Amino acid sequence: MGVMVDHLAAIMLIVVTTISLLVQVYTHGYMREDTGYSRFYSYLSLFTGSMLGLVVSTNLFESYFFWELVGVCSYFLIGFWWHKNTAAEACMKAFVVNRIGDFGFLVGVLWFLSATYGFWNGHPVLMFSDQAGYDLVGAIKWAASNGSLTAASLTAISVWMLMGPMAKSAQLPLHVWLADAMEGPTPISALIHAATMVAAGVYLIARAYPIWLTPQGTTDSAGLAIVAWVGCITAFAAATIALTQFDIKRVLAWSTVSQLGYMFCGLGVGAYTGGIFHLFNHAFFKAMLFLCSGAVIHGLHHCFSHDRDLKKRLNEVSLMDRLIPPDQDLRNMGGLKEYMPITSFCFLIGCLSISGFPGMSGFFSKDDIISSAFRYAGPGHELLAWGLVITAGLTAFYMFRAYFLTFEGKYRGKEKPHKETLSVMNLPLLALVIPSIASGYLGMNPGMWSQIFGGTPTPLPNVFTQFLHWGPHPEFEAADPTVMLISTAFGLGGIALAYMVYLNNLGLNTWCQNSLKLLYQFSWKKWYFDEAYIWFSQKFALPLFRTAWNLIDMTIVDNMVNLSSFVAVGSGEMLRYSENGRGQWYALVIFGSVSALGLLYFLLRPLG
Amino acid sequence: MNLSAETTNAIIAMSPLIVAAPFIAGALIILGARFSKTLSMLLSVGAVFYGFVHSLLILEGLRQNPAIGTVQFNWDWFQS
Repeated sequence: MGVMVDHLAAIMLIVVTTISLLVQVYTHGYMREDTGYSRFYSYLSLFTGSMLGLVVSTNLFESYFFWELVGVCSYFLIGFWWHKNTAAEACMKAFVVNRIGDFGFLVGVLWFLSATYGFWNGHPVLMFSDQAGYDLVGAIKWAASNGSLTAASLTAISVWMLMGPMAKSAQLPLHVWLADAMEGPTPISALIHAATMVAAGVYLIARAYPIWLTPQGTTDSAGLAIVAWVGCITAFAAATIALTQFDIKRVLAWSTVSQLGYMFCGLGVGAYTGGIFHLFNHAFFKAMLFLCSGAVIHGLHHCFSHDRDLKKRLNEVSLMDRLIPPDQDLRNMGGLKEYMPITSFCFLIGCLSISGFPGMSGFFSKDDIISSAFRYAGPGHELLAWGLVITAGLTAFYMFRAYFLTFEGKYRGKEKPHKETLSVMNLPLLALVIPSIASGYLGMNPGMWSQIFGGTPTPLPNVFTQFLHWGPHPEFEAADPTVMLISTAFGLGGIALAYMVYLNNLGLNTWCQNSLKLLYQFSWKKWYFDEAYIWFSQKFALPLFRTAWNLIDMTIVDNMVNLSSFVAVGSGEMLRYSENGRGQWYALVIFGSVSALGLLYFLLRPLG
Repeated sequence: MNLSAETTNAIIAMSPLIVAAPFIAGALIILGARFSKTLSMLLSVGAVFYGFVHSLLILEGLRQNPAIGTVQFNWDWFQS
């Protein structure tokens, strides 16, 4: 156990403390009337401490310890309003899905430890970095040279370990918990389920990167290819799901899943800096978007709070009923720009940034990842890269769908919301606008302009790359201008389409719902993952566990307990007759026992 | 602000406090400060604000002194 600070940790420390600070300030406004105000702050503190502990961990075991603490805090915070049935179900769902991932993570860690056990030899085990070379890189080289670790077994270890990040960062197929985690208070959605905890999976892959490389330390490994494909498929799938959702927080949640997919893909295709750079940028604009959604919900809350029947029903429904609270339903919004100009402005900046609009932070990091995907030499790299490009278009579409439905057009609710005033809830939003625009310029390729305007390509390491890179030298981050143009065109196309569908009212929305009914349902039902898991649980998992319970618990354990009680009762019944209260009898027993012991000693005495 | 390598190392040496501060704040809130909303908020925000300032100093120190690669402290309780 210890503390390690390097360039990667320094960046994560800034991300976690900045977002946590702003979210805690925002919480003061958002949770002011809540009876659990102080409890909420205690959970926030415990979460922040756990997350910071994870960031500065020196080895995999320490990471695992804080990893679990972070998971527990997430469970507490998702179920903060435990009296709501949906919140109770959501925190349980998050807990169970994360346990599945963490089991895989632990298996991977233990397997890696057993394969490299002889290497550590008195040094702290599973260290991420060590000046004397007793770290992951040294262990892999040692194990590969003495044959205890082959390329195939390292890939298998990396896949087991990947289950942890997949669950924590909500990657397919362990992604199902994140959207439902939106049942927690909105500051939690911003802090944990947008910017910090979900990024822990990406961080862990970056931190233990040698495990995903080949034993020789190159990036053309099967482990990284799997990371890239998981990321790409998740990015695309989550983007298609976000297209049809009407709960403002869930739209943002699915966009988080999608953007985490980009980060996975970035790390998978070898764009180590690109993946972390997107994590860095995404943390700021996504936290801002979530806080904006919280401001909208807070602003609309009074419009629906008088409906007590609905409130009661919302407390009793199940997650699978998919009942959207009216103050979170995009169909009840519209025209809120007039009432909430500050929130509207911040949300627009967030949308532009996540859509990769030129000049915004998402533009630089996303194009970096897509360019790296095109340069990637792994299997099916073109499909991977085009998948990301198409996802960029989808992202722009669903984000601006949310923006237009919320802030533009006419207000569709009955009771008008209050006018927004500058409050403690707006200050964090305005503070987050700055990094949502400016942080991207840390990753701007200094040779970009000469590349675009016909000069010779002069790729140079940018500020972010110079600060953080894998290996001894900075990567030459050169986002391909052609790729930048293509992905920007897709992004702008998505924005234009959203404008035509939701503001110009050309009837495209109705046409899509009617003509593409199957696809629409597939998206609305989230690719039927929940239904498939419930079916699988009821048909296979639960019967299997019931059989195991019958066999192990009911037959073996219960019978062993029954046997021990039978022995106790039987021996008691027999011995009770020896207790008759007669002194002669006791003297006889003592005499007989001593005689028996003497005889035993005589028979067993050593001869000679 | 100029941060020498020695200063940066000294700042990093105190980095366990970044982790400890929120835990202490959380514990204090649970133990008694929960009865005062303002005190709970101040403890929690104060702890993370300290972490934020300390993290900024670490980042700036590492930026100005790129030769400082990785700094770590180990309390070797578990060894092979």
